[in-house]
Amino acid sequence: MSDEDGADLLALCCDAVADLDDTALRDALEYFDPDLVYVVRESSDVRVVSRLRRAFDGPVVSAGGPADVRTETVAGITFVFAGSASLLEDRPEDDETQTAEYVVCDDIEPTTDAVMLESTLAGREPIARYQSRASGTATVLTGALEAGYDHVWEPTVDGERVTIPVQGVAPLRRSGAAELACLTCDRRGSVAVSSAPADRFGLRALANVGPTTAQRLRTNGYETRAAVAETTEADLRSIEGIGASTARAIRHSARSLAESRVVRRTDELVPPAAETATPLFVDIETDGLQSTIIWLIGVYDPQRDAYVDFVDTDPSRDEPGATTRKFVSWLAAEYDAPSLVTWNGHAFDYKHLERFIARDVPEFRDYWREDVFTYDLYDWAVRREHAVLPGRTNRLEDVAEALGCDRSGAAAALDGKSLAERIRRLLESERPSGAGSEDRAAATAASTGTAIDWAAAREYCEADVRELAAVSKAIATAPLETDSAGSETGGAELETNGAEMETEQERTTDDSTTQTGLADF
Amino acid sequence: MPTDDIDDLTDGQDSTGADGLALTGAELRDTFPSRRYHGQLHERFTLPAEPASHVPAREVLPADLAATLEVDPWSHQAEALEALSDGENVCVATSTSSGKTYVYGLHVARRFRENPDVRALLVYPTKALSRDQERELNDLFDSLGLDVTVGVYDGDTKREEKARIREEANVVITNFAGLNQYLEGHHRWAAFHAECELIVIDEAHSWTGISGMHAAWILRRTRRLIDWYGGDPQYVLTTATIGNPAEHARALTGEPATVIDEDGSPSGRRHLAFWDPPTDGGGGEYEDGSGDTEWSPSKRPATVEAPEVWAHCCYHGVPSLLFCDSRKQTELAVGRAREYLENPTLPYRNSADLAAYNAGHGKRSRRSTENRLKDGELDGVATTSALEVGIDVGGIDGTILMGYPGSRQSFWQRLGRSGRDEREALSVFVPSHATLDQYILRHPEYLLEEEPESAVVDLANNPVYLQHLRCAAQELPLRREDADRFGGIDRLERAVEYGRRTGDFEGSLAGGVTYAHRDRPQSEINLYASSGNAFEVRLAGEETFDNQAIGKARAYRDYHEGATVLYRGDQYEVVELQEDRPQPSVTLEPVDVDYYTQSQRRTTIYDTEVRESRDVGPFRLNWGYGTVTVHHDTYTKREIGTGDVLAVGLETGVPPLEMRTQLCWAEVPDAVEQAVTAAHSDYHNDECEELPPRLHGYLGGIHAIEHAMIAVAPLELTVDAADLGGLATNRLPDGTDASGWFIYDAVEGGLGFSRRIYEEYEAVARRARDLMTDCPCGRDEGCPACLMDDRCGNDNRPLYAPAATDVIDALLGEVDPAALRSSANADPDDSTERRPPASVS
Repeated sequence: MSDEDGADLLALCCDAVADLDDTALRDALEYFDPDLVYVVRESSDVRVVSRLRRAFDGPVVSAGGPADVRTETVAGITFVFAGSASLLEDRPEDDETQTAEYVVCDDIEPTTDAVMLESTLAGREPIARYQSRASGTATVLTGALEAGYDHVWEPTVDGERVTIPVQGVAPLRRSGAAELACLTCDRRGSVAVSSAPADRFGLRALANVGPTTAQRLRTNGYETRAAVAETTEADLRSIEGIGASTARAIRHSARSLAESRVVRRTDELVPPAAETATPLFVDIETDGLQSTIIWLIGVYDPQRDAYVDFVDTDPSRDEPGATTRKFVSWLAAEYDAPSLVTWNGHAFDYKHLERFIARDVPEFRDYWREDVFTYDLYDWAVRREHAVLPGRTNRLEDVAEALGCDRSGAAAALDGKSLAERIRRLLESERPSGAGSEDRAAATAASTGTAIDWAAAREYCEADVRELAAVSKAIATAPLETDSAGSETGGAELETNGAEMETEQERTTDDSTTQTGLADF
Repeated sequence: MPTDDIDDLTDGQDSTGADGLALTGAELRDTFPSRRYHGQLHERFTLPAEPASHVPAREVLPADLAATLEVDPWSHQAEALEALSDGENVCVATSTSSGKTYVYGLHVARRFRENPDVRALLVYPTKALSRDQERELNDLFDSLGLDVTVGVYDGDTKREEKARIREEANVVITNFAGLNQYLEGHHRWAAFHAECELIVIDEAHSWTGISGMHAAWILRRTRRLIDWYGGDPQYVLTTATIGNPAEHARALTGEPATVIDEDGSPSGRRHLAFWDPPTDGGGGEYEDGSGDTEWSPSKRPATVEAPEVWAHCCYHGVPSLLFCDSRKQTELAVGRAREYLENPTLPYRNSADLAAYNAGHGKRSRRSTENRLKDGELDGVATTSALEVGIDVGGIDGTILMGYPGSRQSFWQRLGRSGRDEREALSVFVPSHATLDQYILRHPEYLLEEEPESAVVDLANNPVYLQHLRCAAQELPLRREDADRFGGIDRLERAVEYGRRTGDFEGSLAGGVTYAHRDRPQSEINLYASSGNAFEVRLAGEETFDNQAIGKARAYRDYHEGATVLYRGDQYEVVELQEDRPQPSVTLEPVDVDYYTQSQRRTTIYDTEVRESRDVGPFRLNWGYGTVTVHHDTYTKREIGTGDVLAVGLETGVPPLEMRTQLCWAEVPDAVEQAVTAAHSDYHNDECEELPPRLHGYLGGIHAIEHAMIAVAPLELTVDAADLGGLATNRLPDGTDASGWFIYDAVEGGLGFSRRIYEEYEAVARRARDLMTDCPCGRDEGCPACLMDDRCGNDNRPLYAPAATDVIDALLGEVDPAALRSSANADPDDSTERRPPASVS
């Protein structure tokens, strides 16, 4: 398992981190805990780079500055950094660059012509030639593309067909702050990406704290989140520019983060609100954000202390609703008026369940619409601002981890996105189609990916569902903060400072709730 | 003969009765004050009345439904209903006020009786029209005693209403911009999609060019989702008369449609007069512009003449609408009309009750004007296109058009506002000095006899295709089965591979291609721009302005700093064009000035790729792709109404814009070039110092052809001449030695217009020739009405009509190049002289 761990490379863009003060910078480095920091070429700034060198005791490689070639080996993985692709050609055979698992070069990016639908990879020639002399196929990382970009190019260079796997590393541009990406690079050229918004470190990690407020806090002697957590609301309010509700919000989030616990902001009943309703915690697994199939549904009943799942180990596009059917018919048989609780269900789980019920299980449509109550704990807590959650982001796994839930074994090694990827490839492989280049690439990818370990997948889903139950319990048992006077108004818009979810689509609360009958909680 | 004013004066209040039209075209002339009449009445036409043609209701509808109908349907409505019950798609291409709503209204009604869960999607051009339709349909269903629910679902719909409409409404009315957004949440429309039996696209002719492309792809995405949920709807398109309704219906929906164009609705006799404003100072000659390149027409502007004609009609008992281009014009027109009637030297005793009507007036004010019109309290209303469609305006007997509205469809639409049912009506067309107006004045057959313009929707534009593929992939993963609907398997595969390389797509067609990012690609779609880089339009001091972004090409062309623009009928000046930010924008400030601006462009074209070619006469004609660099570096200020130049050579400050687009070009054969050059080698334009003197004539010729062909293109196609560009050159960029001229689509990826021009080249060239020879200016160098293009980057020189007509004659095979040559002085050194390249745009 340790072989799988790989090296962590944190990629930064100077304009994304220029605003971070030293505390925040250190906080970010602590959070990501990288083995190596890479500063992309775009908007490179020597002052920022030198701050990074002071703050981080591992290697900091900057793509700005004079072009050269440099190798770094961390956690057993070798990275070659090339300021210019042409420098990679004609290296001596015994050079250490020849055995690298990764080549990092910002020259590598697609050139595009949308009118002609043509795209080629800039820098492919030097890379191809380098590869032909090196041992093995290095994965190319580039700061010219955002993290998450993952494509295997197959150009023809010098008359030969070559394979160049390219991954992006640059921060993700969002409507708010950019998201910094940390890439876990393993021995086999596989990369896993985790990211966090650049403005969520140091004091900025607190709710309602933007650059101005952070400055004000610092001026008034609050350098760290812990300091803010320990002070009173009145003290915060006394700072110019911080009003009553802001002071409350800041303090709640500081305590939540510092003490790793949920902080209740209102006394609204935690969903499901009705006395007699017992929650059923639900999570679904699909083949991606725009799913064509739901292949695994996990359900936990805390009253019966029973976990049940419905899985399709032979998923097929001919019967994409098979699992949904099993789930809904079981639900209807066991529960007259169940209350389902999800994490971000309105944007994901319910959206897809409804689609498949409408089309593939229409006989249960009325039951679903009239007798099943659907709740979304994330929506209740985060969007409607009834609770502040610990964890750097509001993703379920981050919140659960902050609350002390531990994942181990098979469930720890998986993540939703890669699982979805594997299911997609499984579905593709059932169709042996013509030899288009994209099919070949898919086949190549499928062959390098592993087959699906169904037991592990089921464990993963169960872990998700149980974590959801644990978070729900933590919220329900968290005492109401004595400092807050009365309840906040519900139904507010998305927190502007709130971190985004991995599975969340950006939307306003126009996204309709689907429960019928029960009043708004 | 104009009658003597004093004796034959008729009191304005003396109407000839409720049924009669107070003035025919001849009577208009005869009653016009003699001191103001200088032969303006150019032509008169009488269009005969058309009787109604009914079909008994029970022949097309189930008996009990037919019984509740108050009036039998007209023949075209009946035909459409029959085609629908046969399972066909239908394209109803009849005149306005021919009851097209009833076609789909009745179809929904009869389907409802079989299946109360039936759903229909109606796509309307605007939110205002949507609500009018809602009322009209509710009235219809009420009168039929049916419980069909209708709901408007768009940006103005209240949040609480939205869920109810999605779940319950049988008929949902929306618009394309809204539809584009709502597709993203298609799971909420599951029930609607599953039962959807009808999709109606209203005013389908208006979806052409860029907006037509977007509409076509949005419809395909919609249909794909409806199919996924199990629905299988038919299409009904309603359109004004266009030259190619079947083709257009197919381009928009992807499916064939039965065209219903025999109009069974009645219309009364119509008198149509062409009223040409006189020259200023009465009966004078045109200014001689020899030696100078500026030529100003000294005719009375239509903006002055038309309100007077209108006033006269209203005064004489012909309640009339005056159609103006802008809100300001409507207010000015009312002022001028009143002044005219109050002029003591003219024989008008009383005034007339006149009002202006435009979108700038509040809702209450507009309702009040509409009601006063209906009740006969107003004699006349000056309006913008706001009154071109929609509400019933009661007893209007006359329509005066101040200038040509730009298309035949619009022209007839406006005329049709007078004379409802079988009433006799009068319409007067007062042309402005613009090219098209003058052309139509001299070629009325264009309006009365010829085929209307063809709508053009070009699905070949790849940047737009990609935008919609991204949306489609986000809505549901793209699969092989989608290829038929989305460009065919080859194009789809190429686009998917392109998207995978650029990081927009993940997966393969076998397993499903999904959109790789977390944003909503639907928000990138702007119905009036071709791809990203849209500029937001802002009002100084405020946020955005109606959310209507404009494309980059248009921003550079019309929204540079210092430009004046008309936005919703009001005048603004562009005070800032900002490109450095992630969201580029232009900022406007309201102004009230008496000039308008127009930018000139300099064009270069290279890297051409021939996709198709054919021979036209001895010429080679090509169509394909090329890289066009357009630089709108200067602009002029011109006086509104007269077009007089107030300032020239002002700097826009915008950089050149490079785009890859579709174009067509003609290669002139050597023999023709040499012959024409020789025949006109004596012509010199002193201001063209940079060109070799003996080439002025020939280059002036091909330059003139390029201008003229673009100017007349709107007569054939539903194109805005601003969306086309051209370049005439002594040496084509593809390496041949030939000279020729280009016409290109001024939008990245192309619009399909240059393609159409390529296909109809001979017809367009012929019209261009007519434009040159018929113009009354009689100048070899042309005038703004024929050859001069306000946007010409070369200051409209050299332009030389005699050479142009020779070249066109050769193109059309009507003259032998040898004949041309022999009429010139033979120069033995011709063939040995090396021609330097020279391009004129």
